[in-house]
Amino acid sequence: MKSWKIQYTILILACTLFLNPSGFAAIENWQASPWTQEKTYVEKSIGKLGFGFLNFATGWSALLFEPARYSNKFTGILKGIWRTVTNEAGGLIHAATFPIPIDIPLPDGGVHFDEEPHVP
Amino acid sequence: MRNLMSLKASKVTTKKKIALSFLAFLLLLSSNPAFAASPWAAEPSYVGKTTGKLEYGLKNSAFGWLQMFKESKDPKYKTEWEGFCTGIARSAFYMGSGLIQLMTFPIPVDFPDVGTGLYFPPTPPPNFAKREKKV
Repeated sequence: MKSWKIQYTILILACTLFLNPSGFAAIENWQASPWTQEKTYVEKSIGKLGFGFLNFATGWSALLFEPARYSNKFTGILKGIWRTVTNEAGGLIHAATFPIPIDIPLPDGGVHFDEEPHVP
Repeated sequence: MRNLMSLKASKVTTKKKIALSFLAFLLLLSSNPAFAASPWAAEPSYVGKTTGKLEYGLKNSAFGWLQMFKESKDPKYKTEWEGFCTGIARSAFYMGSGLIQLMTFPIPVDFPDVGTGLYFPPTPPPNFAKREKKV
């Protein structure tokens, strides 16, 4: 009975998050994955698997980058932990579902190493 | 004993499920007409096709892993890491398709079709510029 309740709660949370992303738009900056711009099925599958690898392998780097972006270190560390969780989980989901070319947008578009403006 | 048997049965069904989903994925790879066909598919004769398929299989199964290093230098990616990670995925695709094509080279069917596969453009010889000047 207890496990049934937990499963139901997770299902509701997942539905709220993925079926109604507009509700979360104010909290998170959801961006489409770069592989969605590819044209063929093979290229999309390769891109999705590679994007999954990238986020799963280097998602933890948000722990270092995010505190450096914020002047308030506490906010930066919390954001870094949250980004690590979203990047790692998103990467794992992308890699596991690579034969299905349906995008799962990640906050800030997942891991990217290009320079970002400093957030006060 | 009954538990052991059910555990074995469940393992078999899981293996079957994985194999079936992999087969379905391979079928998807070959069924889409938008893909670029393997380079040997344009050969007119049976010998040409099988030789080309064997060459494609040997090249991609043995050297497909090089794609990750090639892809990291591709200017279409913002950073080398992004190219490298996509290259790992592409290497896996090339090596997998290379192995399958190597095993099935006597059958001239383009399956699985992942396009041109590993490709390095031919580089001119080092004294090419000097020879051009002489001519």
